[in-house]
Amino acid sequence: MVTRSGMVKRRLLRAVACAAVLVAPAARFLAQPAAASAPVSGGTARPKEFGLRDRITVISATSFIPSNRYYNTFYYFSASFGRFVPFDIVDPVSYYAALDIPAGAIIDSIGINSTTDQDQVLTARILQRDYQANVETLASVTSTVHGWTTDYSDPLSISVADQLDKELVLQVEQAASSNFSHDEYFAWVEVQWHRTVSPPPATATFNDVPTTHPFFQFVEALKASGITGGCGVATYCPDSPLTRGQMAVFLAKALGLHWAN
Amino acid sequence: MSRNRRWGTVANLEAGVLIAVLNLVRPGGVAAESPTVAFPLSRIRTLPKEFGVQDETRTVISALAFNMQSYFDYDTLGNLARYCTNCQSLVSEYYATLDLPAGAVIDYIGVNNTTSSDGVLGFALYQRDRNAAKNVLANFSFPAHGWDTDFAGPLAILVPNHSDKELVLNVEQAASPDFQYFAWVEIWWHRTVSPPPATASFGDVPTGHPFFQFIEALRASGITAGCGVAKYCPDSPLTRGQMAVFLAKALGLHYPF
Repeated sequence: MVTRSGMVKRRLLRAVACAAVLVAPAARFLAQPAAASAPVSGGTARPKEFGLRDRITVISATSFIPSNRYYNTFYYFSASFGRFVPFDIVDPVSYYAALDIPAGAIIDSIGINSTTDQDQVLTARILQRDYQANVETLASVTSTVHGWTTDYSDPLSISVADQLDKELVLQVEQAASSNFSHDEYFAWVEVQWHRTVSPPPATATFNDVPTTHPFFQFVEALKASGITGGCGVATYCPDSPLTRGQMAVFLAKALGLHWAN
Repeated sequence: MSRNRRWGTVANLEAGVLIAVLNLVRPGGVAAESPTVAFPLSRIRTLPKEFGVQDETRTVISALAFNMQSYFDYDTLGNLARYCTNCQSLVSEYYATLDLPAGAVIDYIGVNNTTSSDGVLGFALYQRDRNAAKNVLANFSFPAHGWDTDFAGPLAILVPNHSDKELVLNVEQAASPDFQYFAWVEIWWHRTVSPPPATASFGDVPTGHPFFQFIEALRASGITAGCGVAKYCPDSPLTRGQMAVFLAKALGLHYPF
């Protein structure tokens, strides 16, 4: 709860802070914490992106929307290069962004690039919200005191559920702070994930690829995605050699090769 | 607004001539930061086509998705576009996320905009690393014209390993008494196969094999482990069943639960 006098005080502080930011941004940037002597994590052997399978989704701080509109415009790029709350705050402030990852993906890590001068001030979370507004936290990472660097939480193994009637949301929360000189900036949130092949269904579509066939799971995935209809009535001909012509059909369908007129 | 529209109509008529002249007289570009993308900016009408997942992909970021730096009174939409309402003496900056995969090559960057005088609107693509160091991958400024799209390219900008880095789009408006709008930024890019590694993973696909680069890429991505111990059997015929495994893994075919 925020008292009325507290609100007045906060608004006054906001006005003062706004003026300070508008007239003397350079002074603020000078007050930033120095670069950390040793990075907390990251920067060494991070995973790679690979084709369609391994992906790293990076959402810049500029794409995050704060829960409080007072903080909406405070994104500095040229000097401090990140989002920050410019005032002392009584309550935590959160920033939100959409996260669009396909069903069946596995989330491997979440990272936040930030600079903080108070311990555990910035926390990034992956939230899943369902159609009845139930919110579940799937993963989180909290920064420690350091200059600009990236903190990771990994390895994670979070299965992204069927996205129908659900959404994923990224949240960055800044804890309450009582000192105007404290600067907690974040620059981006990154989510590393990879696609998976669906687990095998209970029953077989093709008579020549029964549930015990070593390629059963993969042939069923091709069938379910519409890439193949088999080689005849309820058969797939798994042991037939593939002709270059057949492969052209598979690839063109699989990759959705559609050129404009 | 009406003043701006009138001006836009006149400028539209002259835009083609103006751009042609600019291309001749300003081959080196005008932006101060380097590396500067060489002019010509032009209304390219022979852009590549979008094609599946490998060939040209057109990523369009609407001005709606751009955020502004600092000051309160810039966040107005006009003509479904971003513009600065009080920029006589202030520079305004707009930023947006660009999320491209590592190994992608950016071919063209286009910005749909209307400007009243040369160089008032500028574009930059930044890469920022974990220590807040930023690298300018491309930048250019626009000649005066009514609503139209300026393209820079071909660029051949390779997106390096994306972890612990971000790409940020920037549109900058210099101080100006006139309204300058932009509606969207579009990025044309395509995927590439990794360059071949120094050593071979499979004894039967040595570094000199014509398919070496591609087989190593399949292995590194986890799509194949070969046909035995340190072998890939590059000349064996493929069965339809084997291909199902390759494709399902490569595409991450996961249907709803």
